[in-house]
Amino acid sequence: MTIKDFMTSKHRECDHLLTQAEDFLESGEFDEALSKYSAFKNETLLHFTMEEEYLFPMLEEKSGIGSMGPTNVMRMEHAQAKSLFEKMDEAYNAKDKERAFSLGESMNILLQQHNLKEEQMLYTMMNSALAENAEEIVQKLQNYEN
Amino acid sequence: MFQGLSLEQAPPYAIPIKFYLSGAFYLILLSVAIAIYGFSIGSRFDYEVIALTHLLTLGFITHVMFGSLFQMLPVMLATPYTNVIKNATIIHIALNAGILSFVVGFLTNTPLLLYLAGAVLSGTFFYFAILSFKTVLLSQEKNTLVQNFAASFIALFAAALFGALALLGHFGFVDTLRYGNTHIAFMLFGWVFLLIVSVSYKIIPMFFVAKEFPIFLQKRLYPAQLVFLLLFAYAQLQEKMLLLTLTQILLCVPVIIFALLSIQILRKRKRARKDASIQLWYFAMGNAVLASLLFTGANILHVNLSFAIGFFTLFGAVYALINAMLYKIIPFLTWFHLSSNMVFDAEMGDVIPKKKMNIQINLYYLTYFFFLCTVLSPAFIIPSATLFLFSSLLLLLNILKAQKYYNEYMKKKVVFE
Repeated sequence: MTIKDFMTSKHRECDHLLTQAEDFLESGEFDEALSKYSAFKNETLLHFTMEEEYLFPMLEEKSGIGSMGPTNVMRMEHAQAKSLFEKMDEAYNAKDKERAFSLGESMNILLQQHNLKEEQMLYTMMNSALAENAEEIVQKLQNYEN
Repeated sequence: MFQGLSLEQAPPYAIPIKFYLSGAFYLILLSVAIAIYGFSIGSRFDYEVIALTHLLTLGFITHVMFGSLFQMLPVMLATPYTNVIKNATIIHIALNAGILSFVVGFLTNTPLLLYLAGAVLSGTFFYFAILSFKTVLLSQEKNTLVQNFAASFIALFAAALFGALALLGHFGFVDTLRYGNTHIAFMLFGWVFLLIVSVSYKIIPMFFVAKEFPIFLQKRLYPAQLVFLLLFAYAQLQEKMLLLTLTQILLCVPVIIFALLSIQILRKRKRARKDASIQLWYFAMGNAVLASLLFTGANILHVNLSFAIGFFTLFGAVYALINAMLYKIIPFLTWFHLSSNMVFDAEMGDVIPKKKMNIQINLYYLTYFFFLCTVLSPAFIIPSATLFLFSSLLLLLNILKAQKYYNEYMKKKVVFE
């Protein structure tokens, strides 16, 4: 499995968890919604950590793109998402359906366009620049989850 | 090259909003013009009809499309427009000068204004088409998305050319009907349709967490449509009637395929929650299919359904689709610009209150219904125009609300020394 395949599959898992949370929200099953939302948040934050602490510094060093290039834009968007999580926590805990949907809309569009950039460009760069150690890197990424 | 969406490539927030506000303003003018001239309309060739139609197409549709492209094209292709603030300002001023000359010129039958409109509008469209085409060419990747956008700008260039020629026809230089029909075909089946298709390939999967459109469609639809348009132009200008009928039918096929497929993709989207913009999208696609079927039927049976086809296409399909997209794009754009400026208090759902969006959309549906009733009696023109005026005013107020929201939150921006 390549770095791109692994990270892309994680994006899809996160998408799935958010849509599941919203499905429960829609049907008024708030406990299940909160549980799925928490899983979505944890997975997404873990994903950001993998990138910010491990993948981005490695890519910046290997490819010479530096920390002020596209990886910096990605970090800024992670910060935008984190600020949204704080509000989503409030909405889900307060069982405020409308606000949770509204914030979910922002989160969804933010993440979709963010993921697109990563999948189109950054992960492709990683596959190429970090090809030699790809197996080891994917192994390490899988260990992040445990 | 950094491909994808990036605010670094996008113009200031004020640029798209200025175009959107102008677009809504022309809808207000249109509703007033319908109340004044609606009763005296007889055929699609009446000067009043040409003026009213262009208040919608040039005034609203073009403004929103240009404004959205200034914002979204650089973001989608990661290639900025050159001198975007200057170019957007020039295009905005020229477009408005052209529209007002055109509309007043036709309503008062003033040749000087029409000459002026022809020169200014064709210049504006050529300039915008070339500027956008250049932006597309500068994109490092030449993927299907880039190709689709390029095709829409080629169609825009041709449409502007035939539009200018059709205008010259009003002074007896050329046959207006032939060039006018070719202009309409390139505008609607080329520029508008191919642009909607290009944008949809990107934003439907993104905004609704839905499947991608089939690659085959993304690669083959636009060249097929361009070939059909060229055949149409040849048949129309050379008066090859059999070929003309055939190409008119062929041009509808991609529209119907796209409309039905987009409905299917949206119905199977992962984010299952319904919202007003999805309903509008279905409504628009339904109207596109209806208009295409009527267009095909009218050609085969040789009946004149120009008004109905024009209404379902422009007011039922294109207007509804743009309204739907505006309510997706403006809140996201506002929130995204704010949070990219480190203003994290803003919330997308608060940019335009949902209730106000729904009232405006319901007024639009009601207007649509009342316009249909004008078939029964012309007396329905006044309530239709009145409802449309309220709907347009509310659309304008909703866009202003977004702008106000942005300005208020930007005042709270923390500047780090």
